[in-house]
Formats: sequence, C-alpha cells, structure tokens
Amino acid sequence: MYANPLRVGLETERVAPPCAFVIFGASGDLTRRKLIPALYNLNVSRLLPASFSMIGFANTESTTEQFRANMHAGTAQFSRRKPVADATWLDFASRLHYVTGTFEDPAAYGRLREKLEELDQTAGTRGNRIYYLAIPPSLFPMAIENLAKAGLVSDPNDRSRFTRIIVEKPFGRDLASGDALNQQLHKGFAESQIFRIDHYLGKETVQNLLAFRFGNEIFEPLWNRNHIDHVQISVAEDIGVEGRGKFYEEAGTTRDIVQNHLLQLLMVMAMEPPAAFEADAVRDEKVKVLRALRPIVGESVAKLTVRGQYAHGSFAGKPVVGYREEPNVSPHSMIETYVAMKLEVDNWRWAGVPIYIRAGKRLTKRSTEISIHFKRVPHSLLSPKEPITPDVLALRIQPDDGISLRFMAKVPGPSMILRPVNMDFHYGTTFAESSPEAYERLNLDCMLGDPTLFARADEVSAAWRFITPVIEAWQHGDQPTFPNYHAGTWGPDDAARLIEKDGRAWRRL
Amino acid sequence: MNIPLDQVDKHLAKMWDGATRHDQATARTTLLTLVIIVTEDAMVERVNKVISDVVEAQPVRTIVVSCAQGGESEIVANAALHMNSQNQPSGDAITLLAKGNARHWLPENIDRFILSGMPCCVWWVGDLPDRDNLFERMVERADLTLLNSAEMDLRDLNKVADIADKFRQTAMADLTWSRLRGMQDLIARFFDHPDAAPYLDELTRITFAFSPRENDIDVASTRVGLLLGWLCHALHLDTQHAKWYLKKGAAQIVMHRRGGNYPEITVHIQRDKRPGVHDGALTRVELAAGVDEEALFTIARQDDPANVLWTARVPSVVIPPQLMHFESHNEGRMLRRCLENPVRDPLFEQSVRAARDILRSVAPRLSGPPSTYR
Repeated sequence: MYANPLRVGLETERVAPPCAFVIFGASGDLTRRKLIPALYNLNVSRLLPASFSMIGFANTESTTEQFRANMHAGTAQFSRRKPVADATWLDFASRLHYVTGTFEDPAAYGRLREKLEELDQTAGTRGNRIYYLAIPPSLFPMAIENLAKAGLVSDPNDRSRFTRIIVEKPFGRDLASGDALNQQLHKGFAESQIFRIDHYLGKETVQNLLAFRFGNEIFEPLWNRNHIDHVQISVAEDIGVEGRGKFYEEAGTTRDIVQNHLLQLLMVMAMEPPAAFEADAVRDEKVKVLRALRPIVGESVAKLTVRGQYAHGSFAGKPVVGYREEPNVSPHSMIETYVAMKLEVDNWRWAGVPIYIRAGKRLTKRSTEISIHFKRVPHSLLSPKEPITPDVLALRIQPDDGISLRFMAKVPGPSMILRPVNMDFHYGTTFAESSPEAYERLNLDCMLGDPTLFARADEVSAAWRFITPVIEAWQHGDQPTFPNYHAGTWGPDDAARLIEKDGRAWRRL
Repeated sequence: MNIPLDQVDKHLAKMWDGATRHDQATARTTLLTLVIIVTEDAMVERVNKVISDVVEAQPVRTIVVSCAQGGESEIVANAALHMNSQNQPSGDAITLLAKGNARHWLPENIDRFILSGMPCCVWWVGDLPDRDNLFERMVERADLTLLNSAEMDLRDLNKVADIADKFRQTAMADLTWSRLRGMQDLIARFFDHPDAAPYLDELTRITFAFSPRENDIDVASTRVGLLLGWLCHALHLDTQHAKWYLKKGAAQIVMHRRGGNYPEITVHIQRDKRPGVHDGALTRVELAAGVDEEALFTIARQDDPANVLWTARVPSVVIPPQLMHFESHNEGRMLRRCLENPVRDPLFEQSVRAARDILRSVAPRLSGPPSTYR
C-alpha cells in the first residue's frame, strides 16, 4: 500500500481518497442541519480531497442551483464555523449537485448513474461512491435493490474502487426486523461496505471514554466487581418530542435511545481492552458485552424495568403539554417516553455489579453521563458513627463534557470529620479548540474506510436480542397507568423504587 | 504591590479561595507552567496580549520574568489570577522582576514556582542570545522551549538547530512552525492522489515565493528556510552538496536526492512583496515534475491573503482545484497550539537541522565569503 513520505510526522496522517458522496433523501432536514454542515466543516479543515463531489438525490423537484442555495442557508445556520466565508463556500458548493428522482423509479437510478459517471470524468471521483441513506428504513430495501440493479455497487474485493453505504438508526424495530434489515443490506452490500451510524460514537467524549479507560493505568485495576458497587448510565433530555410525534409513536424511548445510544455507552464502559484499536478488535469486545447481558424475560421484566410517559408540566419556567397532547400523538398513546432498567453483565469482570440505566424525555435537565459508584471502604476507621460516602467517578457526555471524581476529605478542625468533595475536569475550559461534530468524524471515517466507530451487524442483532423480549413483554403484560410523571421532573416514582429497593439511589444529575 | 517571594503561593491560594466562594463551580485546574522571559521592556504589552489569548483556552500558571539593570540586587514578585472572558479564574499569573545582579538568581527562584508534576514550558521572547547563562539554565529546566522563528534572521535557524542539538532533554517548539503545518499539509496533499504520487519521485523544480521584510537582505525568510528544510528531510535531499546560485532578488539551489536514481532538483527562491501578507510569509509554492514539467502542483495565495488556491495538473487525470481558507494565526493562537501538546516534535527538529545544513553557506553566523557561491 502506498504511503506518502510527505505525510510522515504531519498532524493529518490519514487523508480521504477521491469519492462521490450521495445523500438519499437530500431534501430532508438531516441533510441541511447536519450532513452538509459537517461536509463543509471537513472541507474547511482541509480534510476532504480535491476530487470530492456530493450528489443530493431526492424526490423533491429541485435544481442543483436551488439545492446549493438551500444548503448554503442550512450551513450558515447550523455549521459550528461561522460566518460561512463566501469564497470557501463557493468552492465547496461547486462540488454539490442534485438529481431528482423517486426511490422506486429505476430510471432515476439511471440518471444518478449518469451523473456519477460524469463526475468520475470531470471531478476525478474515480468510481468511488458512498451512499448515505437519510431516508425512512421502509425505503431501504427498494433503494438497495435499485442501486444494485443499476450497477452502482462495486465488488467489495475490487481494490481499484470502493462503494460504501451509510445507514442511520433505527436499525429495525425488533430482532426480526433488525435481522431482516441486515439481510436486505447484505443483498446489495458486503458487511465491510456497510457503515451503521450511531452518532453517539462520533462524540469526542465517548471516544475519550476509551482514552480514559485504556490510556490511564490508575483506573483500570479498579474497573471490576472487586471495587465497583454499581454503575448508572443516564440519558436525560429536557425537551419533548419536538414535532417528531409520528416517529415517536412508532419508536418510543426504548427503540430511540436505549437499543442504540445507551447500549453503546454500556458497551464502551464495560468492554474488555481490545488487542488493538482496530475496527474488528474493538467491535468484537463490544459485542461480547451485549452477549453477556443477562436476558430480561418473563417475570423479571416487571421487576427490572420501568416505563413512563410524561404528563403536562413545566420546562424552563413555562408550562408544557403532556406527551398525549403533542402533535401527531394519539390521545390514548401507550408509548413510553421514559425507561429505567436494572441490568447485569454476566462475565468475570462484572458479575454481581448491577448497571442501572435510565433514559427519558421532559426530565428536569439535559444530562448524559456514566457514573461509576465504588464500594464503601471495608471498615469505617475514621468515621465510625457516620457511614463514609462511597467514591464516584462520573463521566459526563453532554452537556459540559468532562470527568469528575468524588472522594472523601477531612473537614479542617480538631475532629476527624469527613465530607465528600468533587474534583472536576471540564473539557471546555481545558481544551479550547472546538470539537468536531459527530457527523464530521463519522463521515470522514467512512471515506477513510474505518468502521471502528460504526455498529456491526452482529452488534445490532445482539442489542435487539436483548431488547426485544422486554418490548414484547410490555406489549403483552399489564399496562402501566400513563401518564405517570410530570414534565420537568425526574421521571416516574417507580424508577426511584427500582433502585431504592436495592438500597441505592439515582445520582443527582 | 510587590509580594515577598515566599508569600506568593499563599497569596494565590487566598485569591483562589475568594474566587471559589464567589462561584462554587470554580475548580483550580492547571495544565502546565509557562515561563516567559521578556528580554526588552517594549515586549511586555505584546506578551500580555498573548497570555490573555492563551489563558482563554488553557488554564496555565504563567511566570513572566523581566530584568532591570542597576539598583540594589533583588527579585520582586507579584501575583494575581488570570480571568477568562467568562470572568472565571484561569490560572495563576506570577511576575518576577530581577534588579541589578539578581538576574543570576532567577533560575532557582523560578524553580520554586514551577507546578509540580506538570510540564514546564519556557518561551524566550525576542532575539536568541548567542551565549547567555540565564537562557541556557532555563532551557535545561524546560520540558519544552518555545521560540518564534518569524522574528529571527535566517542565520538564527543555525542557532535553533544548535540548541536542539545541545539540549536534547528539552523539546523545541517554534510558533511559526505551527503555522507552517497547514502549508506542509497542502504540499503533502498533492501526492496523496494515487495518480499524482509517482511524480514525487520525478520532481525537478521547487519554487518558493515569499513576501520579504523591509530592507531584508536574507535570500529567504525563516519560513521558507523551514519549509525547505522539511522537504530536504522528507525527500532525503543531499544538503551537503547543494550548489547555490545567487542573483539579485532571487536564489537557486541545485540538489540531488539520495538513495536512488532521481532527477536533479532545482529550488528557486523568489521575492514577491505583497500588501496584506505577513513579512516572511509564503505567497506561492510550486512543484514541477516529469518530462518538460508535465506535472505541475501549485499553491498560490489569492488577493484575499487568507485564501490560497491549490491546483494539481497531472497528465490524463482530472483533479479539480480547491480554494482553501487559512484562519488568521496570531501569536497567541500559535502559542496555544504549541502548548496543546507540549512534547517533542521530531519532524521540526529534523527539519531545522536540514535547514541549517542547506542554509549555512548563505546565512553564516560569522561573516565570511560563502564557500560554495558561484
């Protein structure tokens, strides 16, 4: 493999090859808010190759000029780099193109193919293609089939060019549909060509969790059942469904957050050290965690899980409606907007260490964190009357990314009085350079052909294998009384009881 | 108000205490100690501006050191907290003034304020001394010694390389080198393209154009020197047997590449005074390769000097041009970049050594006729 001698020692050692990046569903919000601003930022950072082209492919009638103008407005509003400079935008925009077509129309794929071949000639994209499916999963099979029929997918063993496909979650609704989706994807693409995005994995702080665990010696010896009492993983949002009522009625918090983002955090927190920081080595270790999760089935579903749905309440000092009053939501909806579970990972490292997870909408505040709660000291030597508060290591994902360690210190004075103190590390005040957006990192990794931060088929399948029995048990078992928590609170009382019955409490976020 | 040296830490602790009571969220985080040796009073204002840029991004302890001639020998200190734009404390600000002969006591007295267990970086502001006991003792203490080659003459690259050779326990960093990183990336980018890559072995000409300082007599700016040093190192060019040809306003160097049957490479250095462009900055870099320069790679600064146009012409291959924007790099930003990862940068040290070797004959430290002139 060719190695550019001028790259040795430079900060950018990996450079994306020439390629055409095709976004299916380019007239949608994701393209304007996230994907194009991310590509623009990559271009400004000089991380896109000169021979880069992007094609928007959607059924909305539009011209390339209109598409460019629309993307300019989106980038100006949503890019982390502001203002958008005219000269650099014009240069970037010259690489944006648009093809109108419906996803079921084979002729549209013919036009797409013509455009791609034209760009191979005029922009030097060399037959390399990335297809980003920013479309509903129900359209995936059609798009995949038509891509293959139109000869737009190269052989995965062809070293002279590549074809890759990026798909967004949800990766199915349950184990059967998740596996069916994988089968559909595999009809057109080899697993090595498929990049399943979970944007949480593109976040700097999630990657820093790997750095924290495997780049420091002091914590890893403590990272096991001998020293850890329990773990809490929280994904709390203060917003409601924000106009996505129709989607949420289909998904709910379990499918929207738990099956993907939350289990990804769990895997990164609990995985064994991989042999190398390479895609398959990392993903092998992650999937082992999912396989070691003790199944929650039968009677244990009611004991180990809690569902909630928000009623009216307040947000930022103003009244807000309940979930059932949100647009496009059934007034009798039984969809959960809150989930809490008690999980167990049955392996050598984590045996007997409960992992409490919770995720919800319209909670008191927005906060995503993993907190590691260490065991109490074995003997309360210094404070025999008062129990010593256990140490807690909190890894904050968002907002205010950082790490804090709570430990005991002596209160000054003649008596041996201990109190917990916090040692805090904030990314924002330590590293000033703004972090790249998750979509920048992940799109670039896909161009580079590095799938480390993408979910593999067996990972998705294992996640559904764990979650599906829970969802099915909820559907067939006793139904909770919804709504059962007010907007702006910390969720249903049952969630507090779930952890309190073990003599523990949710950490204040 | 001056503070006795042995009271500085106590004074700082009290100020942190006050800040913490005022705002419970305050944490006393510091990443490193930055010792700044200011050699001329006129530079103090510039240094303060740079420091305020740095502490905005990184909580550091700064120790600004200056000297005053005459008077009773003593070191006087002052201490305060840096505050960032959100009015939160962002490190300790210690200033030391050495009067009379107290300059000799500075290293040990600086030592007492260096944060334990954290990196110590020393930034020498101003001309590099040829021989200076304070400089050498401070470099010995530093994990990272910072310089800014943009304010040096070409012959000073000699000194920088000598320091890198002499003080091998300390890493060297150059503020201007951090700015050159973007240009290096653009040059490397030409040969990332699989169809352009073979032309790297067929290079025949490299042209650098730079905007010179007023009345500058050097054949090249230090930036050109460093970039040339980098290419010499990366491409294994034989710096020992380079032949210089000097003309008014331009210079040529004929060189060979070691380790293979490569064509001769001619390096052209041209002056191109441009308004709005920093002194010494590059305005154009061009690499030509193949028979009759069939492949041509150009980086050209545009009318808006923040923009450069990158073009690659390779036979039978389409590579579209790209307009790149370079954000303005003030001294504070460059220093921040250097401090972000205060470790040894072997590429810089190798490049500056190669620059010394190639430039020695046209920018000697001692006056004398260059032996290889023609």
